[in-house]
Amino acid sequence: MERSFHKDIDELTARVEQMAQLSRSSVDEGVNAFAALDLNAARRVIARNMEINRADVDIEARALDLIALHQPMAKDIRTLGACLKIITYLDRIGRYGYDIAKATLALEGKAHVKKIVGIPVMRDKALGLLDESIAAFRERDATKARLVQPADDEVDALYDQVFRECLTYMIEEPRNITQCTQYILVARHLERVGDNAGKIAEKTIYMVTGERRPTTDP
Amino acid sequence: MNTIIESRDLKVRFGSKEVLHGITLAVPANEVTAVIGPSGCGKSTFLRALNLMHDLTPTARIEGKVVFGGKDIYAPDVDPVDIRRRIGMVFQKPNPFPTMSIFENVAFGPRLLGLSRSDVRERVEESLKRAVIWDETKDRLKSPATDLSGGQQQRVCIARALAVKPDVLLLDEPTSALDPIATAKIEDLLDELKKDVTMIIVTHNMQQAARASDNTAYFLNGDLVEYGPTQKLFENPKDERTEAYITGRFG
Repeated sequence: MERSFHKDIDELTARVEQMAQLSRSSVDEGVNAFAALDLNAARRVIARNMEINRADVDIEARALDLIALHQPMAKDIRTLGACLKIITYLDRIGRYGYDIAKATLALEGKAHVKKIVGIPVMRDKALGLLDESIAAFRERDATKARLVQPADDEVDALYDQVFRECLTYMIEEPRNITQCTQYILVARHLERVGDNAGKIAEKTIYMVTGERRPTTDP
Repeated sequence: MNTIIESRDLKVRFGSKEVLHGITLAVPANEVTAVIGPSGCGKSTFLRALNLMHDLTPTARIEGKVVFGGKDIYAPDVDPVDIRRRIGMVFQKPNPFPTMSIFENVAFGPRLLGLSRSDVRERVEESLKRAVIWDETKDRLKSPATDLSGGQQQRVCIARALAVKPDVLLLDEPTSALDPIATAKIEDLLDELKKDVTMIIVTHNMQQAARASDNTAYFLNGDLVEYGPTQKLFENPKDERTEAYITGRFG
C-alpha cells in the first residue's frame, strides 16, 4: 500500500538532492571564479546563496509538517531526521562556495602568485565525496555511504600540502601574503566541504540501517 | 531484567480455531509493556489469557504456561480469584458498577478482602489518589460513578483495580473511548503507577504505545513477531513485518 505520505517523503528527498546540486555548483563555480579571478562569476555564486538558504528553510518546514501531521515511525522518521541534518550540511557546503566567491572579490586588482593547481584538485576531491554521498542517499545504499569516509582523509592531506606551500611563498616574499592567506582560507573551506560530505554519508547510513556511526576524530 | 509474569509457548484455541500459536514473552517488573498489532492479531486474547479470563468461555482451550510468581497460573491448584486479585484488569469502555457511588465502586474489592470500615475508607482515598482522580471526586464520593465524564470514569475504574493492590495491571485499550486530554492523563498515570505496578497495555494506537510504554510487542496473526525496547522497535525495528505495520505500509 502506497500512502500519499510516502509520496511526500519521496518528494522531500528529491528536494534534498536538488539542494545538493545547488550547493555543489556554488563550490564548483566558486573555485572556477577564484582560479580565474573572475569577479562577475564570483558575484553570480554569491547571489545563488539565497536560493540555497530558501531550499534549507523550505525543506525543514516540509519535514516538520510531515512529522507533525503523520507521526512517522521507523524508516520514515529516520529518513526525515536524516534530511533535516543533511540540509544543514548542504547549507554549509553552499556557504563555503559563497565564501570562496567572496575570497575572489577580496583579490580584486591583484594577480595570482602562481598558477592555482592544488585548490582545483581539492575541489574535485571534495565534490567527488559529495557526489558519492548524495548518490548513496538517493539510492538508499549504506554500503556506498561507508566508502565515503576514508576518502575524506585525502582532502585533509591536500589541505596540509596547500598550507605548507603557502607558508614558503609568504616567507620568500611578504607581498604574497594577501593572496596566500586567501589560498589557505579557500583550501580550508574545501577541506570542510569534504568533512560535511562525510557527515552526509554518515546520516545516510543511519537513515538506511538505523546505525549511528561512532564519531571518530574529535 | 526482573520478570514478573511470562507466557511460555502459550496457545489459545476457540473451538477448532487456534488464535494464539505459541507465545513466549517475558514481562519485566515495574515497566509498561505495550502489545500492538492489527485487529484480530490475538493481542486481546493474549491479555485475557494472563488473568484466566478465558475460563469463562466454554469453547476456549489453553495450552502452554503463564508463569507468575514462579507458578503456572493454569495449574489445577491455583485459585483464580487470587490470581485475578493480583492481576487486575481495566477494559476498553469505562465500566463502573452502574448502581454504585464512586466510593462504593472503589470500596467493593477491599470489602471483599475483608478490610475493616476505616481501612476500606483509607484504601479508597489512597486508590483514588493514585489514579489521580481524588481531587475531582473527593467532594462527591456519594454520587453515582456514572455521573462522571468518560475519562473520569476510566480513572475511577483504574482506582477500583488498584484498590485490591494488584502486582500486575492489564489494560485493554483503556483510552480508545476517551478524548486526547483524558488519554494524556491516563498515559501520565501509567508512568506514575509503574513504581508499584507492572502494566501491560493493549492498544490500537501506535503513538500511544510509543509514548507510554517501555517495551513493545508486535503481534500478527496469532504470532509474536517482534518484542523489545519501545524506542528500538519504533525507530529501528528488526523485522520487516513490524516495519511495514508501524510505517503504514501494511496490507
